[in-house]
Amino acid sequence: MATSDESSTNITGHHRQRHRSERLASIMRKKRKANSIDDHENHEEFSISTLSDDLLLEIFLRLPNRPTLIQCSTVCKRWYSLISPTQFILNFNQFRHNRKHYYNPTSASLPFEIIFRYDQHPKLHKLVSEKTNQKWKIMSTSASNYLNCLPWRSEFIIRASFGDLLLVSRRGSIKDYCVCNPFTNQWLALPDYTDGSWLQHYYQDPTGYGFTGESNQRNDDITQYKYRVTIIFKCEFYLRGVYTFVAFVFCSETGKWFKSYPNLPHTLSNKLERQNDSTVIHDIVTSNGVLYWLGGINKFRGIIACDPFSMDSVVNRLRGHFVHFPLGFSHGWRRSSSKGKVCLGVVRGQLRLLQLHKINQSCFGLKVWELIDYGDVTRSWILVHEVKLKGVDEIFELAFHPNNGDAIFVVRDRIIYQYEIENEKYEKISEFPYDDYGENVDQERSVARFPNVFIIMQPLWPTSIPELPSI
Amino acid sequence: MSSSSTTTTTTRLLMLKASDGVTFEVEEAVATKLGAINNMVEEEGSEDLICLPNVNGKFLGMVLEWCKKHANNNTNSDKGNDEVNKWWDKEFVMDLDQNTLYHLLMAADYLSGTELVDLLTEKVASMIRGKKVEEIRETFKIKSDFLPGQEEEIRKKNSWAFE
Repeated sequence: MATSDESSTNITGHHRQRHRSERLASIMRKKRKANSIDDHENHEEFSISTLSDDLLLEIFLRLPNRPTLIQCSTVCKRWYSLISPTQFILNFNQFRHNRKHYYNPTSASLPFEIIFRYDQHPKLHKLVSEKTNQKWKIMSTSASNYLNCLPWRSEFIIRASFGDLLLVSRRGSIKDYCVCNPFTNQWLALPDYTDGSWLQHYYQDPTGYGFTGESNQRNDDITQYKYRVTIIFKCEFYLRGVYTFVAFVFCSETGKWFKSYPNLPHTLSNKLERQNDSTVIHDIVTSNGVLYWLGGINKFRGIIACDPFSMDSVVNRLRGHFVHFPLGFSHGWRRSSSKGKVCLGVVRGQLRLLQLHKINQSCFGLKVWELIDYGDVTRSWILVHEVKLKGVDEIFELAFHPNNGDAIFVVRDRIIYQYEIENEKYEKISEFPYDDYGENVDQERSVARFPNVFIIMQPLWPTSIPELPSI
Repeated sequence: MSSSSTTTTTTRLLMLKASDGVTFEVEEAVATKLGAINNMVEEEGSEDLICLPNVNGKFLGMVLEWCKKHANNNTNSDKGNDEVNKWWDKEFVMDLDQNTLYHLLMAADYLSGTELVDLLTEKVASMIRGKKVEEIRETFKIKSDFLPGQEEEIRKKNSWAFE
């Protein structure tokens, strides 16, 4: 680079006319004048290394994907220091922050995928957005193809998701669980939680699974990502005003499971009919580090909140509380099997509750609430949407749009749509893959008609699953 | 401020002086496509001569050429103009050698021409895309300054990105 520098000054030197007149009155367009002192500097040969860090970042931010970025980080030390995970994300956030006026905030929201599948079926479906034109498409694949990095030969089942990570279990095994990142194919087998004599009585399928990572907002130390895997058993409402369950919680920092019997007060006693009805839970989601799920006996009764990161050290119990349904939530018919009609979800990090109820033969009412104020004492719902869906015979919600509070994914008359609530606009995505499942075969078990849905976000940088600490 | 530029009757002229003394006479509506100049015009008001000691005349000329095309194309608010601009942008960056590209990029950045920065950084990014690490080094004449083994280590840690 230094040699080309010299030659370029030689060449330009010949062409230079050395006018000295600096009279501004005689300005004409593009009149060339030269200042011999500036000559050398002005025609210095620039290379990409001449650019400031900010400009280099601008360039890197326009690269299409993370593999390209990672490859770029191995070009030289400077590029590495700009792109290495911690620094790049900090830079990126700062960069976006400084240029708020320049970047359309909605385009900055992270891409995501919606995965859904039926318990008994080997196929798995993914709704993914095409990067270029924001159109959605559906991709179907066999589950074993999807995560072929896993150490198991037999089939696996997705149990929970958080950010870009999945919790999966091996079919037919009660103790084989893996945390994995489908983008990087990294996986970590969790230790056996049935260790010791703990589990003699729980030799049954768990009731639900929760996956909670620490909020990604603070990125000071990305290499040490902390998370909790929670396996939930035996949820029960008691007439005496408590909700109990058994939770096995995997703590990423210790690499160990601990067990807890949370005991959450509720005030539903007088409304509970029979205690021996089956207890149900649905839609375990994570918002602000807290797990939420719909709970009830035959009917949904309310929402259970439980924080796997917080432990009451005195009684050795997870902290949690009971959240009542909002006023205006229709209690009439909500059977526990009505998945897709009553849904919990997370939009921009906040908990949302949706209810679809049939008003008449061809009209549904849709209400969406958001839970605000997560303090232990005051919590309140705000009604964010209340609309009527006319001309609709049958509809259920597949998922909330995690970034857009006005959009939900619904299945209506066998078609998956993205529905913009306020504009009443349906955007067709694809046929809903009913056919695979022999819709009529599972008539009695209506639950089977509704798939398990998981949302995977694609953060700026793939989450790296920390190794188990060596004991 | 700049909205007055759409009334075609009043075209105020500004004088821009580059580091090498070369001066350019441009319409205000053209020059204010550059954020830095827009700010100066708004702040200093009456001053017609603007000195830009960090930009060489050759590249200032090119930046202004770009501004002019965009300012002209934007005056008649036709939807087809977007296409014209895009086509013209493509032409503009097509045959730039790297030296000119970086000079322009730094000039555009210094003058807060965000749209032009966008165009030029996009161009550089397009030169990186689809290349292997060695090819990137070759394209940009960068020598690896990692210690032996360091690069391997990074690759190993992120093996998923190199498949």
